[in-house]
Amino acid sequence: MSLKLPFEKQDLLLLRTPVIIFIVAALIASVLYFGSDSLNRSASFDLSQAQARYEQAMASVREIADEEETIIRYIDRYREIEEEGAVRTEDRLALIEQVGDFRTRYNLYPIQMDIGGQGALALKYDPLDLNPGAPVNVNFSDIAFSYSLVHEEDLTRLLNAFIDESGLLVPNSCEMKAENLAELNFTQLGFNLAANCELFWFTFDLAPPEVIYEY
Amino acid sequence: MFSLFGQAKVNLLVIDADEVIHLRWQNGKLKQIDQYYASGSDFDRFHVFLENDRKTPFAIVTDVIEEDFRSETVAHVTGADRKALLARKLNHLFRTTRYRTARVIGRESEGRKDDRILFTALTKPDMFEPWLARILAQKIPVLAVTSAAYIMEHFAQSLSVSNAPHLLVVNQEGSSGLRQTYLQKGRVIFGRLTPAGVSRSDSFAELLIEQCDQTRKYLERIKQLPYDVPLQIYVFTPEAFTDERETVKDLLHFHYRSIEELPLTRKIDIKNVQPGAIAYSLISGMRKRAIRNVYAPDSVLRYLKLRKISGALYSMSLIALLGAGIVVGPTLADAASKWEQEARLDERTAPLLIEYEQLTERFPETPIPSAQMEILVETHDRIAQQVVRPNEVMALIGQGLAASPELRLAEVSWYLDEVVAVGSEQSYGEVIVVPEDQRVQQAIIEGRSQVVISVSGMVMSEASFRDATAQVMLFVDALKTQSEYEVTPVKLPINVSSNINVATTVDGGAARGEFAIEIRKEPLQ
Repeated sequence: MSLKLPFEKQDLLLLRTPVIIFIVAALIASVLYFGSDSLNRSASFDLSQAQARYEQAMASVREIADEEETIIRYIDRYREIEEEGAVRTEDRLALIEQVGDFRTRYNLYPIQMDIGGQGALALKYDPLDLNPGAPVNVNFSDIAFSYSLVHEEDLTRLLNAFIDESGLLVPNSCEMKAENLAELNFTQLGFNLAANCELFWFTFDLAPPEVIYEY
Repeated sequence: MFSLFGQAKVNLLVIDADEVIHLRWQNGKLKQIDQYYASGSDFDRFHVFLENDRKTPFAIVTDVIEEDFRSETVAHVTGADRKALLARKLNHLFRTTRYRTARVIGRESEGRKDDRILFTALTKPDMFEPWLARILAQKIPVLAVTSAAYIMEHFAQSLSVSNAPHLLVVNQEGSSGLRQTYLQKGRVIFGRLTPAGVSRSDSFAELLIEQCDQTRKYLERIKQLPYDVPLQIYVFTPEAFTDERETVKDLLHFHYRSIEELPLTRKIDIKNVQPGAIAYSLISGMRKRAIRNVYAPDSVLRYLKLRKISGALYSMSLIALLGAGIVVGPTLADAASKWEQEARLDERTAPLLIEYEQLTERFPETPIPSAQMEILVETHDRIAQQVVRPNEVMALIGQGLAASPELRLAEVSWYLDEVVAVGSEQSYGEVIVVPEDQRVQQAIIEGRSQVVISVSGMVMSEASFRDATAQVMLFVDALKTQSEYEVTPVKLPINVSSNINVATTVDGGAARGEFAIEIRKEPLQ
């Protein structure tokens, strides 16, 4: 089907110049439009990149300043804790030997010790912290001991020695009983009391195995 | 039909039976350019003129006898059907000419309410086609081919008489004769031209009455004019031929006007003769850009259409460029603004990077990352804060015993208990199931432990159970002086509450009984 025009073919030649001008104008307009749009998008991208670089630099400076401040605030305390032995694996043999030393030092009756298996809990960083640190686990073991006492000082001395000299040990429970309430006699050397105690031995693990939580 | 709207300069050919007046509309004036006759030399002169000015479009106005008016009724149809019906009727009525047109002039009020159609045609194209062919040969646009009768519509409008229901406009032109155009409400219905010298009347006034009377009778016969309705007749002559302004002759009401009195006449410059109503209609119509094509078919108008298409293309080109400029301007300004912002941001980033480098260089050596160090130290100190030393427990009990020295302790014990935080925050997305045997450890790590001390023993009183109980209560009261402890007697030497059994030995000797007390330390905040 052909469209019937009221023009002859040669008449249409009169439209050649305006058609060419129109096509050229449309091309120029298109190039201008799409070119400027492309430029604008490129400028938007560059601006967002610059914004990101600026924010990254700000964050880096803030972060490193915060880290520096944190380190300055905590480094001395950390050194003390490290010195105390809380940032390394349990040395059970050393602890048993240390208990022997305590016993000798305070002239105590024989001590029955029982160190349980080690458990662990992962420390949780602030969930709002966008840049949390590496995982840290707190390991803990139960230490139970029992022995006879001449008087209650035998218990306080030993527990204080544990607390002060053996790392991060927290007495969880203690029971001190009179062997025979009717015949208590602190004027003669002999055991009158019995003590049963349980302590938690906490240590920190800075490279814990990957934890798979069970739900 | 095309309007002459927008043309600043137009050539007009007014063609009558004898001559062709070549006028030009320019700058609001109508000026005669030339005058031709249908002779070879004049055709050549016209050809030379066309060759020298191919830009200015032409409009052709015929003032000839050979214009036929027929009014018929046809079935009322619309759209393409009406177009086809009118084309068929035109072809039937005016087979010999292509300069023909039809328009609806009304509708019957009775019967099937047919449309009343006016069919008109220039029945002798030979009179103007030689001129038209020469114009088209030069590819010059033809704006319109119309007739003096249709031009009179503009004339009636310009004189504000076009609303008359039955109006006869009579005009005397120099060479063509006496033209009578009948209009209903401003629309031409019929026209006729009485050539000069045809009438036997001696005077113009008699000629006027004679011709108008004939026209009226004809109109009555073709049922365009009712028999009893007066006909308003406006007579326009180049110069006044009578002193009277109006006369009445039966149902013919004559109004006499002289063209030279009309305001636009001075803008008309025609050689040798006074301008008539046609010239006046042309200048009036051109000023209002109201002269439209009536008869020219598409083939005659093709260069006009091509010029319009060409103009539209130029306009669209300009609009495209201007539009692009309008759209692109703000976009480029926006882009420039973004580049400027980017440069400013880069300027602000550079010192930050330098500061970062400096901070990195002086960063203290650290055994572990700061975040790990912080959480480790905080947790360690929180755990250490919850250590309960036995001295503290013993000192507390010692203070109590000072108040009640008669009490004999059988057992002292203490343990750490978990304090369940009310409304404690949970970490989102993290559900860690802690085994039951690790709950205390977790409480210690989280700083939620409290020490619970139990003291039990025996109390003896030579006096009475009341005294023994009082000694225990003295012990309790002494402990309560320590504000951070909550003291609860769990067991007293004798309980005399009415809802439990009381069993004791009353032998006149000393009263003795067991007691037990629980001391709970307030948790750390």
